[in-house]
Amino acid sequence: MSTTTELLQGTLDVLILKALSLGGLHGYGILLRIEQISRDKLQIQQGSLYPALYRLEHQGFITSEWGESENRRKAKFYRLTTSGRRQLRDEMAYWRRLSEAITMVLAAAPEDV
Amino acid sequence: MRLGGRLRSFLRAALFRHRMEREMEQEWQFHLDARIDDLVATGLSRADAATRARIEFGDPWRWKEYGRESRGLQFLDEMRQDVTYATRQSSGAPVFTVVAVVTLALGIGANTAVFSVINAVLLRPLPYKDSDQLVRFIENFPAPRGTSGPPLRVPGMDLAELATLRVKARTVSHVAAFAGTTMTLTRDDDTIRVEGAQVSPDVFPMLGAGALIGRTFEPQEATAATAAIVVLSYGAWQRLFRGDPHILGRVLHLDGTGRAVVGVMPRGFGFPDAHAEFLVPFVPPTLPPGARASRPAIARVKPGVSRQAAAAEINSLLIHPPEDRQLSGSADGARPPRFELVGMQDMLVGPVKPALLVIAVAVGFVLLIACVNVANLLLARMAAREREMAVRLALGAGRGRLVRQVLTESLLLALAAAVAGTGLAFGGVRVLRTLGTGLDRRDLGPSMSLPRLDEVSIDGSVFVFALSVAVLTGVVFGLAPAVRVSARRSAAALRESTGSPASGFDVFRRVRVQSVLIIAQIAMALTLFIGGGLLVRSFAKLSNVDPGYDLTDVLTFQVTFPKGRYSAPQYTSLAAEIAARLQAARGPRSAGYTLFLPIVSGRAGQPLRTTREPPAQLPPLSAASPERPLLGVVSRDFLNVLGVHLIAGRGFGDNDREGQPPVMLIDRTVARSGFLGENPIGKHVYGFGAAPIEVIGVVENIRQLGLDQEPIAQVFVDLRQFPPAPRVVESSPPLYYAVRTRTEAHSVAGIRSIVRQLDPQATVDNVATMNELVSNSIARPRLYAVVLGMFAAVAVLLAAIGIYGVMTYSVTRRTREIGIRMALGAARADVIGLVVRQSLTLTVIGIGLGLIGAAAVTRYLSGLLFGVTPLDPTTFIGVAVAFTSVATLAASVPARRATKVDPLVALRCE
Repeated sequence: MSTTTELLQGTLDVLILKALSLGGLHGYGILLRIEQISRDKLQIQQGSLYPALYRLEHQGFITSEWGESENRRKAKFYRLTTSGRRQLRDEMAYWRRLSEAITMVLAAAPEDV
Repeated sequence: MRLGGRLRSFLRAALFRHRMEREMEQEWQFHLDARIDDLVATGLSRADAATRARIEFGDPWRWKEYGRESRGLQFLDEMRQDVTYATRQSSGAPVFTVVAVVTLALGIGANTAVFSVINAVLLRPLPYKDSDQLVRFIENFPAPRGTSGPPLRVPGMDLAELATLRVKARTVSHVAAFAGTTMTLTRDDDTIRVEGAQVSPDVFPMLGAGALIGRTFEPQEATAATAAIVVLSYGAWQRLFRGDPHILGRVLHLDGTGRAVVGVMPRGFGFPDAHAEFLVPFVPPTLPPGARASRPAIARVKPGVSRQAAAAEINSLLIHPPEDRQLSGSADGARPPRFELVGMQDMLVGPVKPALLVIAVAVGFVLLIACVNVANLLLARMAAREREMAVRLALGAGRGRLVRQVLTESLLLALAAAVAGTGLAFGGVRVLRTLGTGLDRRDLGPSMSLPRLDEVSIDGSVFVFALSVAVLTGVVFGLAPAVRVSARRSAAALRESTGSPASGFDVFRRVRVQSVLIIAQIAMALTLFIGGGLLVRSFAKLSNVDPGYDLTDVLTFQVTFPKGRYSAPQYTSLAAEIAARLQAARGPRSAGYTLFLPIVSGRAGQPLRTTREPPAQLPPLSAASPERPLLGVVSRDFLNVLGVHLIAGRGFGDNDREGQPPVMLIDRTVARSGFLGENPIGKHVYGFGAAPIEVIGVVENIRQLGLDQEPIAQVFVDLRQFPPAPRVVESSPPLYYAVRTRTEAHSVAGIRSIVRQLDPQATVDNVATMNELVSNSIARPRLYAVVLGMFAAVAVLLAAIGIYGVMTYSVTRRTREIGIRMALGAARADVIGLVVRQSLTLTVIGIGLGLIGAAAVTRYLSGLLFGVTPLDPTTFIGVAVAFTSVATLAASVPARRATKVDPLVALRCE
């Protein structure tokens, strides 16, 4: 059994929102933060981050602007919007309910069924 | 909000696409650089780090594609492809494209033009505040005694009752009286007739209209003592006073009264109609006890109150009409209410509404026919492109994508047609305006031209209409080909298009959709053809009616003397003097005058009797009859100038002057009625005046009221013997002159100078030839006939093109079959017969359906027809025959082409 987990479809968006909820970041920083807070258990194909970012921006959950990175390179920084914060809250509640339900189903002993 | 953001983001992406992609690349470059740095920090060589970073990142093209998709750009890309492809397709088939665009442009253009008229006349509210609350009063009068007709509807209300309403009515917020009037404006250097109106001061707050400069009337200004004021229209201010900014306070001499200008109305204000340029306060006339005076009246129904409720209240407040106006119950027992409330706009446009709706339906049919044509063309083309579609399907194109492609093509055609059609509409509107514009004179009444025509223009809402029609038609005619594309099985299509031997024979199955469409098209075109035919025939009959007087070389004009200047004898001698001087200038007996010019003015009947004592029972009121003929008061030569034929006896002579025994001319109807015996000449009748009047001659019937009105019984007397009553002379009734002339342009100045020599302040206006007057009186039927005739012609042309197209397609499809037949010995005539028979089958079915349809709908035209019944057999048969020949002609071209098929080539083809 592998120690890393493939991402479920549609979960990247919520991870990005979560990563950005701790402060504005550029794309590479978002990637690092996700890997860091998941303690490297989640593997993301790096390029796929960007379509997700553009989608979220298109939906108005995040905004972007050009800035300078820690080592003085030109980079694009993303930031959560108010509606993004609301979206994150909704998504988190949803995940919690979903995972509780799935955990409960999987934890069910044979006599419960 | 969020949707707006997305749209912005989409637009940004669509518009600044290149910048966006450059930014993406820059962003990723940063990502890769940062990654490489991190990997180098873990101990990798720079080259290895770079390779690893690239692998980890994945395929940038893929991300780019996804990135575009997440901004909604993919749809745009595909659309761009579709449009490019469609443009290439269309320019690859120029004939098809031109025919399709021109066909649709005709349909869209005609619809746009008609819509712009309907929009301005029927849909757009009158330019007053909440104009749907404004109502006019119609009073129902009992039908003439002894007859059982419907009540007479007369617009207006008795002034005393209006005053009652003003105090008591709770459902209406304002009531006001008004009256159109023509006044004489005397200026330093000249005197002209101007149109105006007397209006209650209430009118302005009721309409929500304030003055542009100055003020309107105050409520207390509706009395004779304070009424010496006038408000100008914007047009009058600009035209007659060159927009003088110091106009306020200036005193104008109107009908001999000095009136101070207190205000100018803003542009666009035209109450009661666009003619009214000088508004003066309406002062109720002082009436002798017991007398009544009715005037046109208007009211504003309070917000939230229905018209019915207002009418009910008003009828309950005014329940006591005078004895002679008691309405009796009609045959079915229902008693009509005394007053009806009619919306101000309905009152204005009511007379033309049915005709405009007929035109709107007809033009809709034209568009449908155009759509069918283009749908058929597209279907034929689709059939030719079946292979292409099949290949695209086989290569993995989605069905949805193909349908979209086909619809894009048809929408593109429709939009091109909308552009061309809007151009056509500009021309169409100009034609409609020219056709609908009548002589601009108040004395002809409002009934001649199209109301609100000056408001017709191509504006924003018309553009929106044209665009919507284009999109709608694009979808409608694109739908059939699109459905066909999506229904095709690719394998079947690929196989079929190589031509199985049986494919040529089942023609009707192959072109089933086209056949149904063409039959529907023929039916619609035939219906339009019959409608147009009926109106054109009706108009031809109308314009060939003999009015009983000459139309050529007769010039008419109106002379008005200053009010109150002359006594009755002076008035009549002045009138005669003008005629005498005109005759001196242009020959004896070449000029005459009357108080009532045919076409222009009607008048009440005059009871005549053969005994001095009135008969016990007078004939019913208001219906003209030989016992109650219309009375024409004319000059000695008037009937002569007009060319009214004398049938028997003599006309008026020099001796029939004042003081001589009174004489009278009667018309053929009166003479034939037997009312005056076998030989009426020399008989004496009693009617007006104390003395018996001798009948001296009989003249031909004339159509006094209009070409479409049967001649009414009339008698004529000489103005010298029967001058108007002094009370009438006081108001200076205008005289209509008629002169024989061949060069009207030269004459007007001469006429004016003759009249001015006698009284410098007399005016000459309303100059028109008799021909113009009559032509103007049939302007509406002419408009309807021309418009519907044009639509019918276009419909027939389109149907012919449609038949031609479908038959050509069918012949192409049957090339193989025809080749085999010819190889087996079929003659030229057989082949032609084959094709023509097929087209005739379709045509006959279509014509049959069209005749049934026409018979069902032409009754809606009955109000517009003159001398023709809605089921006029001549028109129905003639149109069916004409249409059959057109259809056969259209089919004969492809039929002839079929005979040119070379059997060898045909058998080898495909």
